[in-house]
Amino acid sequence: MADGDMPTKKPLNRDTYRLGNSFIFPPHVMDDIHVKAELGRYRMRGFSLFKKIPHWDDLTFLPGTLTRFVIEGYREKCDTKTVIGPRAKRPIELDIPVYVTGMSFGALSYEAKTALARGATMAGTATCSGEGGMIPDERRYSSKWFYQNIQSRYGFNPHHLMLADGCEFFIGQGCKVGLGGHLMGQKVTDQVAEMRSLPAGIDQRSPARHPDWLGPDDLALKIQEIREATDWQIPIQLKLGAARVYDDVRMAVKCDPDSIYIDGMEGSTGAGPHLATEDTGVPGMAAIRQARRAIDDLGKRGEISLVYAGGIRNGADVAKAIALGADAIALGHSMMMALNCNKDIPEANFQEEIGVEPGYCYHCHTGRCPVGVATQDPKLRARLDPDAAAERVYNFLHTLTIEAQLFARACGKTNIHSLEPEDLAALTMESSAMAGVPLAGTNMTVGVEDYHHL
Amino acid sequence: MCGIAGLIHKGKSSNVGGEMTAMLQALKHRGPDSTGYAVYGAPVEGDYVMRLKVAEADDMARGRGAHKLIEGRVAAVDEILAEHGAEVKSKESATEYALRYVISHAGDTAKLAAHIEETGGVEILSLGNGLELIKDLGDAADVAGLYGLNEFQGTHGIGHTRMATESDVDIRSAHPYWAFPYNDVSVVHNGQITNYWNMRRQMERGGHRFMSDCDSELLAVYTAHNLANGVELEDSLRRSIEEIDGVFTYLVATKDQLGMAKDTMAAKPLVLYESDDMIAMASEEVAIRAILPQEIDTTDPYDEEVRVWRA
Amino acid sequence: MAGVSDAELKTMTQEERVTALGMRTEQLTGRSMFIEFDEAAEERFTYPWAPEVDFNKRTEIDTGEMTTTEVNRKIRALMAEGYGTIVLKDPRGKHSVGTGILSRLNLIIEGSIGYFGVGLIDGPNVRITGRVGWSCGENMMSGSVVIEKNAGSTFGAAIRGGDLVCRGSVGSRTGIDMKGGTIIVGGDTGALSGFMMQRGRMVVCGNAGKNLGDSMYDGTIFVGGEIKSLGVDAVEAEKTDLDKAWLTRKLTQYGLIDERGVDHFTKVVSGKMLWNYDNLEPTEKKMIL
Repeated sequence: MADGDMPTKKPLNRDTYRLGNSFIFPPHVMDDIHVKAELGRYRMRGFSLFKKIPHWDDLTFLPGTLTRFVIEGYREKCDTKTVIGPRAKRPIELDIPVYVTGMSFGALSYEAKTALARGATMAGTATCSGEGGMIPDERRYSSKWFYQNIQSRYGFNPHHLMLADGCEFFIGQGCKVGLGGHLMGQKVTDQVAEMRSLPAGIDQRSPARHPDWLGPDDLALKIQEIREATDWQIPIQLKLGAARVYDDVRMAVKCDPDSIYIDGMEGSTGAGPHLATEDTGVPGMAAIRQARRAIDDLGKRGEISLVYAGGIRNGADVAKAIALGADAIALGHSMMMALNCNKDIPEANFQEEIGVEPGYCYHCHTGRCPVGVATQDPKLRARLDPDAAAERVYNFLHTLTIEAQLFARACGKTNIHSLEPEDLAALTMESSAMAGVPLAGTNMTVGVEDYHHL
Repeated sequence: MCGIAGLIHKGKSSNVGGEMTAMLQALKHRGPDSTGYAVYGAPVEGDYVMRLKVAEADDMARGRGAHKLIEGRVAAVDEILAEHGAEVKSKESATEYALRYVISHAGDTAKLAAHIEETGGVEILSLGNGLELIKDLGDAADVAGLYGLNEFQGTHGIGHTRMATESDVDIRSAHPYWAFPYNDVSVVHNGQITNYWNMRRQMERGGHRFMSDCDSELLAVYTAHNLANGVELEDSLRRSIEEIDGVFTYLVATKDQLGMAKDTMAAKPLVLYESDDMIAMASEEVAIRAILPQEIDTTDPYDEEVRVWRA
Repeated sequence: MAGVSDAELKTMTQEERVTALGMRTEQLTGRSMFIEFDEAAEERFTYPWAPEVDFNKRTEIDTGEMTTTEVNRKIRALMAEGYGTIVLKDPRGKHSVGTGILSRLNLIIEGSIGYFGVGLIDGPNVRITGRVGWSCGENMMSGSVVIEKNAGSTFGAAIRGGDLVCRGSVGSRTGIDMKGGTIIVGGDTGALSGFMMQRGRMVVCGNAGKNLGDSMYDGTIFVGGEIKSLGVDAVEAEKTDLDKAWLTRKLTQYGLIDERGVDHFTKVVSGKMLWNYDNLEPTEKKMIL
């Protein structure tokens, strides 16, 4: 380099004459329009929502330091026993506050369903049939088992109802509130179709309303019918997608169930229109707080349980949901991941079979699940070893519980259900407003004067 | 989300108060929050029965302050009546906050009603020659007992047991609704109206007033709007099926008629019993059975069905 | 899956498609009932836990002052004692009467019952002299129910088997989500009857309301009178000799046949366009608008 010369500059790796990128129409949105213009219908997919919403990471715990006595984090007793439907003659008593939610045989393979049942039983908790009827082995392997009374009534059998420990009325799903379930033709095999009394291979779009009741006034009578049929023994649970939560839960309480299950918009599906997944419902943190208030306002705290599901990934999420007011947590998507969903197992070749990397698969609706969980194809199903899968399900449920206990103990609780909203702070304005807890480091709860009496 | 019931006797009076109570009590499970009646006694021309409430549940919760509040409001109502030259023939109160006036008035009742309602906290529940509208929190037996309704003689009536949906549990959101300011018209409804806010804004621009956020009130206002424009009751009912979205079955009573309409989805129940001298209808058969224990034939009206009967 | 292109799939019949997609590779592990009979029980064809009842053992209950729960518990207690014929008197429009009877039984209800009457049953023969409210016979599996008067809406919702007969007229949404069995209506039926019907047969001797058989997957509807309108993907079809023989037999059995015979019945079946909606041509997709 001669004296006085400027050092050679690397050329800019961008075109400085370019005006910018569209925020509204980024390339994937344009692609979406191109695809739909070809397809002439909405696009289906599995998985939960893709867009960013205020969620559990936006909350943090305020554990004991000097003002509070902490319980030894890894050893001392912290009760996790959870009762769903305490008023019922035979309430569902769980060892841990998390259980496996309803996922249908059809959406999931036989091996996946039985692995979930076995893992949950090992962990001392419950499973749920999901849409499409009971497979006897699932009932056999489950020590506590919800039978779902779903809009389509696929495979609903009163004999199976008699075998249930609880009956769940499916009224809506957080991921696609107000819409029925889906099972694409690829998964409607002979066996699945026979269980559902459908022709094999059809695209099954379930109804969004129950056939035999059309409003909450009729629902009250329907609940009575199921109670009569089961001789008032088992708890009745209503599963609602989170929308107008306060009003919906008030209505639900007036129908007098034993438990109310709220599914936040973070919830997943095996198949649904992409847009429904993105644009229906409200986030869990807002839903739990409203549902709890509705139950308490009607004086039913301790009588009607509140179950939450949707977007729960770890023990911190479990503890946060309990702190906001849930009595129990149901898990769907995370349990599938415990089964192997999106894992790069040696037998699977995600790139070739699905066209995406492991970790980016949302193709449950195609029935080509590379890990053998959300499929009915015998070749793919063989990739899931039910024994090992059951073990993983147990391990994950157990881990969630000890993680949640860790936060409860740090906050000075000897019972996990003693967690309360006052144990939390919000990291964003949005989460403060929705969850009704103060912004960290302040006494301000956005939009709320007194968050203790929300 | 409610139970509704109605009955009409042809050409005779009967104990409609007691009959409605029996029917509504049988529907209690469909709506435990509040109960309401619109019953029609023998009309007296020139005399009006005015039912009003001067406080809400949240006012009453103020304790001692509530009494003062109520006294002030009642005094204001009396003053307005005097201003309009209305002669108060009797004034009774079933509860501290619910009053029944019998007035004789030759002037415009719509103007009178509008003036009275200008008093904060005062809502006219009904005004008419024959109509008596009663609603309060609690079940039918409670409300009928409180308001001494079990002996009421009349030709027809409609009633409602409410399970609150999106609006609050209070008296202003209880049914029936009076079709303000149209004398003697009342409405009960079971269902939800899903273009409520759009319709409401349209009605409000047309000068109508809404006292609650309950979607059922729209049906009363809508009916009043049509009747005021010279539309027959039957045509109004038919038109509502076209113009109102959602699911609904509703009953409308006027001085001498009782009408029903069922929406196009036929999602809200109604069971109908018809005989030569009496017609009874309710959300469930069990309510009709409460007054007609003998073996009877009942039917379900179909979608988009509209019926009107005369007393 | 491999080896079949989307274009090929589109041209195939449903049967070929199912085979090509590898859906016929599995042995059926059993029908959806999954009830396991031991050999002795199989001969009698009752469920292992069903009480042994004698049809000649008859009793009457005056239900006038009883609650629904008391009535249902009483029925169960009497069945456990071996009563095979039970008469319920004066039911006064109660809801959920006779729900969940999972055994053979002659049940006679003298009067009218409310919502969800004899729902979730498997096996009993029920006769109701009065009227029934909404959702009568909901999810019934087998047996027969005969109602002498009218019925409310959602009559026979999601039934999976058995004969459900109403001699009078019924409300709307009859046989919604029906999955098998037979529904026979002597009079008229309201709107949306046979909505999303999956299997089974429905016979309406009178008129049918609008949107009959909307989105039906499968199954057959026969209508004797006028059809106000057909729903999406419901189409008229020719009656076969088998259909006529079946209709004659069933209607004769329940005394609902008249001098016109069965020739005037219209047969409605699924157009099967919505079976694989995703495979429709763009212009065909408008059918669900």
